[in-house]
Amino acid sequence: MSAATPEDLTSERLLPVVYDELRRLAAARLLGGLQGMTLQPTALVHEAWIRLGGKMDRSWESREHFFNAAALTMRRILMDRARQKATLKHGGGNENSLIPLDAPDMSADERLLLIEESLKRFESENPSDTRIVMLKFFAGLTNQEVADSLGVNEKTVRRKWMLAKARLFQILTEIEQDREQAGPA
Amino acid sequence: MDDPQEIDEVLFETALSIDEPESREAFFDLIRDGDPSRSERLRTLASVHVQADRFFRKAEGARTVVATEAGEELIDLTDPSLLDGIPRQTPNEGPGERIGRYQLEKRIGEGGCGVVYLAEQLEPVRRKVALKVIRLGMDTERVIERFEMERQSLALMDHPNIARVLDGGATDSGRPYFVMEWVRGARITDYCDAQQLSLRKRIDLFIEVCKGIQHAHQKGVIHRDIKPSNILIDESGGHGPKIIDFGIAKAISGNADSGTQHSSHDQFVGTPAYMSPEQADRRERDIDTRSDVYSLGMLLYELLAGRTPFDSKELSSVGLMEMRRILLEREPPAPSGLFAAMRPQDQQEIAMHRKCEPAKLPVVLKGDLDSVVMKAIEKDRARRYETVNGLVMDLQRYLAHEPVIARPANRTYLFRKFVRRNRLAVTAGGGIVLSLMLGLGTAYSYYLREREALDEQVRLRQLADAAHANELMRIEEARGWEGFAHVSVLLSEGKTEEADEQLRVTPITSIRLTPQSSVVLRSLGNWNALRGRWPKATECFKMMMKTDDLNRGQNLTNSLDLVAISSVLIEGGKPQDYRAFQFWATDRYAGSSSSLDVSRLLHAILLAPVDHRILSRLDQVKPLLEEFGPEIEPSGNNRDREFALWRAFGLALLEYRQGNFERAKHWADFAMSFKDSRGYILGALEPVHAMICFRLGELDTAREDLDRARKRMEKAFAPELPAAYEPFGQYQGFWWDWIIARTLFREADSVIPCQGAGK
Repeated sequence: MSAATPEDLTSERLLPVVYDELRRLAAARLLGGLQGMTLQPTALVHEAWIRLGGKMDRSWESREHFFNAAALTMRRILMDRARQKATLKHGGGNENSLIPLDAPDMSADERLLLIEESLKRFESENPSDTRIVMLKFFAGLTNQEVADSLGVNEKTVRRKWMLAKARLFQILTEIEQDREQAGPA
Repeated sequence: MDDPQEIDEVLFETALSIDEPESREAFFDLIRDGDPSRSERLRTLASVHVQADRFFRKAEGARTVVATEAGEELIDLTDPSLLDGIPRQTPNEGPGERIGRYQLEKRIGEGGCGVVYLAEQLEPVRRKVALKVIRLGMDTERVIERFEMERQSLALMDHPNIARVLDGGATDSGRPYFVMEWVRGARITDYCDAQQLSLRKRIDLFIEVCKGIQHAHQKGVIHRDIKPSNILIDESGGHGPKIIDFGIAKAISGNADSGTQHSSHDQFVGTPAYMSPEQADRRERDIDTRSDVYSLGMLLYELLAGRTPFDSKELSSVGLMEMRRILLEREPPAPSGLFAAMRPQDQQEIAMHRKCEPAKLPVVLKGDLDSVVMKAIEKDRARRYETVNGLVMDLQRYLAHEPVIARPANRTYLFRKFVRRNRLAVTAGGGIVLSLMLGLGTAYSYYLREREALDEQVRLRQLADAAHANELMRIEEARGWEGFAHVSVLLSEGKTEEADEQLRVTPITSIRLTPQSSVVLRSLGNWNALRGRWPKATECFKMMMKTDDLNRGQNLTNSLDLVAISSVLIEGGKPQDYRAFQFWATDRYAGSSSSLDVSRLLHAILLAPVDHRILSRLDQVKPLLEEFGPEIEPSGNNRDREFALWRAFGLALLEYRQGNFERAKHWADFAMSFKDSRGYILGALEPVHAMICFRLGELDTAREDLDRARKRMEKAFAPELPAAYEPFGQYQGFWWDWIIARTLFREADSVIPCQGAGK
């Protein structure tokens, strides 16, 4: 990859680069077989940053762009996969299946799809904090790292994430209830 | 400025920090007065918080599962171009690989923070080196930055006992590595055992190690991770010990900015058994050469006695918090004591490795060697050897049969104690002085942190005001707290007058109670008590109890605090304060499974007659206290014997208060039968024994006891209380020991009629 100039470094433009890098790293891990064949999004994102970040300047702007792109990419990859599996399972489009939130056997895909759905609602009521949720959840950054990337205080991140989690969970519950009412009919 | 979202966040965080449901409800009620809908919204959010946390934790697992599936699905693993430019075995380098200009040959070791390889340097010269790859992620840039900063000083080091650090960099996968002179050999402790070196030879070898460290200190480099595995000797012994890993601990641990000794994964950098208390204290930012003195002391300890006083396995199994607590608070036994307490077969083995009789080893250790080691591993670094050189000189004095400086301090102390006996009997034990010093150190970092937090609080305060949540965070309180922490700093610097002045401006009761405040309150309370300022001390300890109440679930007070609080309340509080305390303390500690806690509880609450409800609750603690083991043997460890004695004393006092005088007599006699008890223990025991005998009609014995107790009190309590405390040895008792003795004496004196008075 040629060195990017700061103007190039918008999150959108970085997407393909980051996607590519994540794919290569994932491949290396899976082929290496050393990680018990699991892919930790957090580790992948960090490793990608080590590899790509070194070629970018180290300002927080470029950090921000990179991690935003990484979180976005992760979100897309994960959701595509989860949707694909859910479609296979339910023979298509059955959005109204009932999954209790605390069910221990709730599948990974179901869990992620629920989060995705509530995140969309969350985004409509609080667009600015959605980014923090993305960085925390999809990129797996620590509070400090999120703070560094957004150029804000670590305490602020901690507070926002704390409140956002509770609110997301609340939305999730609402979604569940909506389905319940629609479901048995 | 007025951001409702941010107000929500702040209020939410505050609400969650209140553990007790009723208090949390009260908090929401408070918000409701100004903003009912917000209050309701936050209340419901708070109610799902725990579930939400759990859900998201599970979701992290889900993330990994789906990512892995996606990876397998999306990536064409047969496409070789994917691997262009990526080292195949990210993240593990292995033999045969090349890192920079080094060719890895074989893995020669693995430690807590990385893997060590034997490698060949290819240019500019071909030679064997040791290459250590550090296991860390994101921190690489900073690690290398710090290493670069240290590099110049590392280059200045040139000493036969130091293995040079030659290079450092980052691997392709982004992990830091260090290149060092390759040293073949065994760790120093193994070498000494294999060669069956005598104590004297061990000390000679240790002095060589010290010289290497001293050299580094002169060049401004602190090692920070001295331990046997970092000091190697080749089997022939010809080259002397070599210290490896210089400068690495500093590069991979946090720097002053982050203020911690931890990597991003919160793993400890350093080895607990050899780590100085200030390194274990994550709040301590300032590590100096005395930290190496401590670790050297631990190494010497192990070379002499065969073990370190704190067991490595125990330390690494108890969790970070407890480990810190042990390193910061637990007093280690002297080497001779540790050895004497070992199992015979271990003693046999350790002595054999030293070509010594098991019975003789503790005799040799006792005295000078014990003192030298204990001075090097003092928890308070101000009381350690100032420099490594100081330690070396003392060891050389020992080898030359000259008196060591570690000991005359005690003789001076004994002399001083004699001179001051009439004036200064209420003394501080080593333990309390230590906790006082540590407390003040802690207070200082809180002070700094609070000052930083102040600006933030000003801002939040404005937001909170806007939300009519006036009670949330009062800026005056923040200021008060700042002033209060400032007092502690002044105290630690010995500026008592300024501290007093500050205290006048900042009344103790104005501070906001946070978990941290109990640390400061303890320091201040002790400080005031040692000066006999009972009202102030009472104020501090009452606030401390209040802090504890606000933090249900995490007892901030410990059982030793109980005894301090009780003594202060007896001395400076109102009778109802002490009565309330009796209930408060019983609630907290009557159910404890630690006999030490329970026995302290008894001392704390039985200093005056006590409510019958408490007395009947205390029946449950008897079985725990009544079992005595080998600790009561005269040969036992002094400390254990002292605890046993206090337990017997507690039982005697309890039975006495319950009116079971025969049982009480049994325990009191048992306690009296201990030989060589310390004055402050007898001071408490004699009046109780006297009262029991009196109730049983043994008036003569009662009077004899009382007379002895009276003489002891007259001797102990000079006309006035001391004007300033001095750190005294640890066997002098805590200040409250004497308050307990005096309280019980007064009671006995009022109960037992004088000779001649009609019965």
